[in-house]
Amino acid sequence: MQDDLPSQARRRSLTLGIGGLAAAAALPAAADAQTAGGESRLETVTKRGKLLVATSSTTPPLCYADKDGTLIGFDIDIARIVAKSMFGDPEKIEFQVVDSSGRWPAVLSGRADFGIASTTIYPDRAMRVAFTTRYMDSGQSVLVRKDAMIGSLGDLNDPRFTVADLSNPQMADRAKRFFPKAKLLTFDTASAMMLAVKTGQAQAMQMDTPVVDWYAHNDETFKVLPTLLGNVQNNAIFMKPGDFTWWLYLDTVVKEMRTGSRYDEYSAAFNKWFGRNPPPERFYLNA
Amino acid sequence: MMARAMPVLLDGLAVTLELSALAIVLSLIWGVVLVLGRLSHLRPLRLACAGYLQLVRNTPVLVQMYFFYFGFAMAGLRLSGFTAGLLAMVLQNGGYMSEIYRAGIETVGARQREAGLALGMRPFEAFQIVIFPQAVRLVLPPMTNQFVAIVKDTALVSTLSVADMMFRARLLIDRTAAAFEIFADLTLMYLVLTAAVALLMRAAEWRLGAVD
Amino acid sequence: MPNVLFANLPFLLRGAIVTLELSAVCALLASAIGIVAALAQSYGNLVARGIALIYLYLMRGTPLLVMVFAAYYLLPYVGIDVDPTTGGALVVSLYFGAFMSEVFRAALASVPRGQWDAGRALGMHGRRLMGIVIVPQALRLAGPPFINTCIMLVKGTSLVSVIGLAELTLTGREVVERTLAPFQVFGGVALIYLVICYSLSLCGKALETRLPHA
Repeated sequence: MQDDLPSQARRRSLTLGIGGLAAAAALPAAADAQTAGGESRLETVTKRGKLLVATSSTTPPLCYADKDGTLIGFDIDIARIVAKSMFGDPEKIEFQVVDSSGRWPAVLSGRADFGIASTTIYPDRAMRVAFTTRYMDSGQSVLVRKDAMIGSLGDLNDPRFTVADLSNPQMADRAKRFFPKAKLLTFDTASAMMLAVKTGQAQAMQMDTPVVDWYAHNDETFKVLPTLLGNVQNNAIFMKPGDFTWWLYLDTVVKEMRTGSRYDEYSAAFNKWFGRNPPPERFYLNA
Repeated sequence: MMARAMPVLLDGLAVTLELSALAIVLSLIWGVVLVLGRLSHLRPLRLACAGYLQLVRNTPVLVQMYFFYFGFAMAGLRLSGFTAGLLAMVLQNGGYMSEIYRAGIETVGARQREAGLALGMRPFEAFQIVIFPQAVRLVLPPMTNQFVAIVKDTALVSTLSVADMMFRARLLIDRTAAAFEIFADLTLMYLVLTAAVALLMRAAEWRLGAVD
Repeated sequence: MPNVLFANLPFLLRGAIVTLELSAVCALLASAIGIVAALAQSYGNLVARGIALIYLYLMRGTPLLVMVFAAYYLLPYVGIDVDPTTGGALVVSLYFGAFMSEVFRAALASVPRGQWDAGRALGMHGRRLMGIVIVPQALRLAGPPFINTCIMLVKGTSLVSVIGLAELTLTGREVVERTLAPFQVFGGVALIYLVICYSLSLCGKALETRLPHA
């Protein structure tokens, strides 16, 4: 499957969709995120006066909905810091809710200015979307039911167990690598996976570490397996590639959040959702 | 890419076919049970069946599937995605089948039975020789529509993580972003499937029509 | 146990309102498409009939779920920007337009032959004949199956939940995933749909008795 370059497939899709002549003319314009007039999305957003951001509503504590349907979470707060940096007002932002597979079309079509949805940086994804530098550390952990008596990853590799996944290729690859013998269930949102584990349809689920930790913290029936699946990873903002000015701006804001002028707001959000300071990035910022 | 997507979708075809076939057969049977209840002499049974029919006709299959998959599991009964989907489809389509049977039986109806009795046949004979064949011919077109609807509804089980054609197509699109080709393939396969069902039923109609 | 359901009822009802709005818009659009397709099929020239037949064949043979996803994934990859609400409404209308066209076509065909002859005998032709004699009777005949198709449409809107439109089914899922009470909440969602669709079917029965048959 990986021998077909995704960008190649996307170009073929564009050609089929628009039609011969139009495609030939439209190709360079479509591949470039800047509009025909050469305007960067930074200008577009500044003129518009508010940000359009794609996010998830089912991935606590990063982006989820409270009982009134309002979006809250660490990712939400990060997006609001960006809005405040641009307009001085954290409310000048409109969220578009997407699921795991819908986040790419949302930014690639231009409907959203950027996406922030507990999204991990992987090289395969970087071929289709542009990532800023990370705004938080992540990793993949496994949530298990306490009553399933699973102590380690090795225990999980057993046809008796069913593991819930998200519908992206990285999850499928990890499942094949770490627990090939277990059965798999694939859903499109983190909360659907959790529901599967809670109802007993699955005994375990794999998801970003912050999400898994949050679920385990808030529900007695769950616990987290001690091993990370793979390395520590990076969660980042993603957007349509090709617009250097927009990417540079967002990347700058994220860097300033983690190590500079916006550190206080970033640290406040981090403490609010994770109960501790962000990991130290400079020797003189205390842990 | 279109050619490369096919093997993956064909893997899902087996599941789609299995689910469709089971749903069709079980709906046919469940429909008979329901129509017997619907037309019975016992009023409570008639009312219960009528109530059941209203319940399944006025609720979306997707919600029923979620209910059977997650709701039952929470209550202690763990059904696989396939089973939960099959259950929802049979409960609903069995209801529609029973209505089709009922319409067929009632349309051919009393007059034919009287005619049969006037000719000296016993009621059951009258049913067999006069009513049933006519009812069958009346019933085949709406049944064809129902079968096609069943085949299309099987796509819903992909939301319960059942590895049918729709499910595999979605996963493949996530991996390769060749959305256009994969959806073209998927649509083609469903069109072929539904056309095959319609053709088979047309052949059945023709044979039954030719017999009479 | 039912407390979970009652506590979240306002939230679910907001989803129900979206379902109702979406259904109303789609029913109107689908009817419009259906009328055009029925007329094209019955009275159109070769090209019109060809297009109508291809459209009908596509809609009747493809699952609605496939079309819903296609609208969601395909259009952005091709460069067209469509949000779940617009995309969902378009797809549902297009899909049920085919069913509506069948309803109208059958109704047109069921108007007794005698009515056409009588109308022509009175000197009416073409549009006058259609508008005064045929179409009103066809509309009356179409009443009950139209309502049935509308009920199917309401149920069909539940599929738009998979692309993120916050109608009743998605709202139900969100509540379930927050409260972890799938039995009660999905049961409650089913009941709300039951109320909506059963009310529609009662309207259909009322139409049948009120409107005089041709």
